[in-house]
Amino acid sequence: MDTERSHQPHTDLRLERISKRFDDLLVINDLSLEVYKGELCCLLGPSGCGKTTTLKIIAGFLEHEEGSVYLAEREITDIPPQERDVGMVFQNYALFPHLSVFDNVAYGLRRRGWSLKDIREKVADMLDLVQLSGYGKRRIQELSGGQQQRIALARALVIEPELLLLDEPLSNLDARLRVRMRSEIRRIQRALDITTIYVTHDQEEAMSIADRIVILHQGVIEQIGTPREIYEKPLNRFVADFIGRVNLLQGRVEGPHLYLLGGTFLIPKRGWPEGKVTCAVRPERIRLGPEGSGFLTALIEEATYTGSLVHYRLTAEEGARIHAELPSPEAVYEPGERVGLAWDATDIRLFPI
Amino acid sequence: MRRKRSILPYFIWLTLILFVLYPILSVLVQSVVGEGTLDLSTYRALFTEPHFRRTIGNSLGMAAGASVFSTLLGLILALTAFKTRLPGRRFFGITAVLPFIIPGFVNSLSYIFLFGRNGLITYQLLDITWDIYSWRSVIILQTLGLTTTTFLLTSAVLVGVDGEVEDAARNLGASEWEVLTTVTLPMIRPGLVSAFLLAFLRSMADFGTPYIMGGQFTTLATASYTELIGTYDMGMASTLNVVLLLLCLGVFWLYSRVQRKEEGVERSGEGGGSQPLTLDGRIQLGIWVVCLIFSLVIIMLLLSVFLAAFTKHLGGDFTFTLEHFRILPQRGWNSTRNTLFFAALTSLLMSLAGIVVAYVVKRMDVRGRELMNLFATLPFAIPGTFMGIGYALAFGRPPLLLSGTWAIIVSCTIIRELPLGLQSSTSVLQQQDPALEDASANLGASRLETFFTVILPLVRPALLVSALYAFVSTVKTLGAIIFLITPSNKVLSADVFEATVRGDVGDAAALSLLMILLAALGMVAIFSISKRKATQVWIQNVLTSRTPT
Repeated sequence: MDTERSHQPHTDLRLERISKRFDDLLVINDLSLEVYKGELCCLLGPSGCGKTTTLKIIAGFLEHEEGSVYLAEREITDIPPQERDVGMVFQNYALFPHLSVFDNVAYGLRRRGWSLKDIREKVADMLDLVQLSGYGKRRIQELSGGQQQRIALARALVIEPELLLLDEPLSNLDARLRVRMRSEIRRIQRALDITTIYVTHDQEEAMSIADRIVILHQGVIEQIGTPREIYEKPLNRFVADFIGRVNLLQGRVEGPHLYLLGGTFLIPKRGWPEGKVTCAVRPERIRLGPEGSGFLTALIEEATYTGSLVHYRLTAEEGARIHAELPSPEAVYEPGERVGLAWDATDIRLFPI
Repeated sequence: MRRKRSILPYFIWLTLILFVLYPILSVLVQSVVGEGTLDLSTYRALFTEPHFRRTIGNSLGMAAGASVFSTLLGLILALTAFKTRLPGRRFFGITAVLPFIIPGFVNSLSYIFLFGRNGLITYQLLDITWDIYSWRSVIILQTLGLTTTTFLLTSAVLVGVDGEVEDAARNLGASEWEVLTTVTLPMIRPGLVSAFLLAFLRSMADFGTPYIMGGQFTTLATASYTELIGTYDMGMASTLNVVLLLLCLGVFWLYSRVQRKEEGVERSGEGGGSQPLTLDGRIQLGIWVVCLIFSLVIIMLLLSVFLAAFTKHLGGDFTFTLEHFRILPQRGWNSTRNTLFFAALTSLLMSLAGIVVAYVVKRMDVRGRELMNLFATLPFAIPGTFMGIGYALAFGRPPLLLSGTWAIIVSCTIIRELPLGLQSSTSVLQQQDPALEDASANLGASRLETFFTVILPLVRPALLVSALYAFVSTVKTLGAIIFLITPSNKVLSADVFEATVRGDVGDAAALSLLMILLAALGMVAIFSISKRKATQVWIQNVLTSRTPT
């Protein structure tokens, strides 16, 4: 996914210094965020990080103590949910159990006083878009999980909202359906070019669907960036650890040198912290060679063959555990062997302890 | 492998045939037999003689009125308690449950104190005379009493509405009023319909209120009593009850259909609880005033019992006195002991019977399980007066001569409460994976050991609540046992009833206080034994006695 858009992105949704408390617990702490027109922005974080709370503040279901919300240049902080022009897909879909599929999708249009003829047309178009034409008369209970998901999406989109909010939309589906619905949602989002905020705790889902990812942790934004930036250039230890697998090794920086588990590395790039640091390196960025090669030596404890990759568990000096992943053809080492480890200076990130 | 056949199902069938089917058939037979031959004259009389024919219309009209009003009132109270932030909403909730501990005919008594010919309000305060004994009073009092049921049922479904679904409606542009009318109310409609039907059933079967308050207004239930006690016409009394039963069964059939449908509608709980609606100020004021009036009336009714019990002559002489309580050592003590004994035995045995029948129906592979379930649930729909006459007929003659004994009263109350115990146990067993019992068997437990070590502990909390409910309900019961009472086994409810009919207001009030106290103890026990949320669920189950599907 390319980060640079051809035109200057312009802000559609702006959150300014939002704070939210539940009793004494600060769940959102001074959060500011800009979401661009037409982009799909993922709020990603462990459970309890405040992502759903943020979504409910944007939708207007929760009142917050401080900060402002702007949508399409209009401040909506004190506007009731009814008048926000925001469509939402709930985690449990929250479809109206007493209404048919058609009436569910038509609900928002009826509230807007549309004529029955226009409603029929519009709902038919929407059902077409989510590939459920002809399902209008069905009861909600007759639909499968995936179909309910599509109807929830159609119901939120039919009112042509300025902003679409998706709250863990795929968490109730099985793994295979999840992957299919994921690209389906992306397709529809692109077709309508609608600004979207997508909440999930599944990093793979976020990586594969998002234009940009916002990593939330304890009510604070840890990092905002494209999936590639988040994975390859995590800004801190939490992000590095949360996204993908990573080795976190204790070391020390003195000038251009990093001393780590008995090895010494030259770190040409400036700007790393001095003194004690945590060095983060992805398992697939580690190269293995014969003993004596590379920067440091480690003992192979275990090798697990997983098809395309071989996963190594190694022990280095000071008993430090290191994980490495090699493409199968290059993985010629066996448990019990001592090997040399190496990596490129650009593949590591250093964080103060 | 063939398991050893259990005799348990046969034993249950025998009991059901003897104590459910036999009394029903006795009444049916009595209604069509005269002088030893087939005689339909009572039916002819019922449909041709105006004063009998009117009782059918009266019963239906009374039930329609009381159920419509109590459903509305229950809905308004539930909305106020759970969907607004109005002041006093918790207080309204409590007063809505209060009538549960006040027997219907005690309510009538208080109502007479307040609004009767010498009533505190009508005579003392306003100096108006009106005929209190009419269908209006019956409907007003039944509405007040039935509102507990409709309030609890409506609350349970209202609290079950997923708050996210209402949020979804807001998100799509619905105003708060539209959220209420297009989402919340339609979603609880099945619950409202069952509340209505249940109230209808209870109202139609009610004996005490229309008998005391009705005056010239007679219903099927009261007419059957008058026929039996006044003219000893057992045939006519039976016929009136058969017609009443048929009507009740019809309503019950509708009720179970709605219940079944309701179970099909999945209620999601995860989306977060129901949130208050911010309705228009005038609407809020309106429902608040309705709740306030209701609560004040209930409290006044309760207080007037105290007033009547502790004053010399209500309406005439307000001097404090304890003289009415002199009746306690003479008559009250005996009746209290009987009431306690009957109620305790009923709740104990109906729990036991409930779990055993539920186990056979849900877990044993025997033929006719569904029919057994139906027969055990049937007493829920049978009016008290019908049961009373059925027992009086069936066990008032050989081969099973029980009349005059305590056994006839207790077996009648047990059978009447059986659907409750059955329902509690069934719903627990239904949620429980049978694999749990298989695991127990796999680990070497015999069937009996599994029953005591696995099933009983699981069912116990639910059963305890319904046992206490049965206790309260038996303390209050009148219609069913009024035909079975003899001077040697008097109970409080019958004493109060007789004192009221006799006009000994002070004595009736003193005895009523004792009953209210007993019922209140049971009620407090229900609320304190288990966590509040769980209790609510069980009270709902208990009140509806859902026909297990």
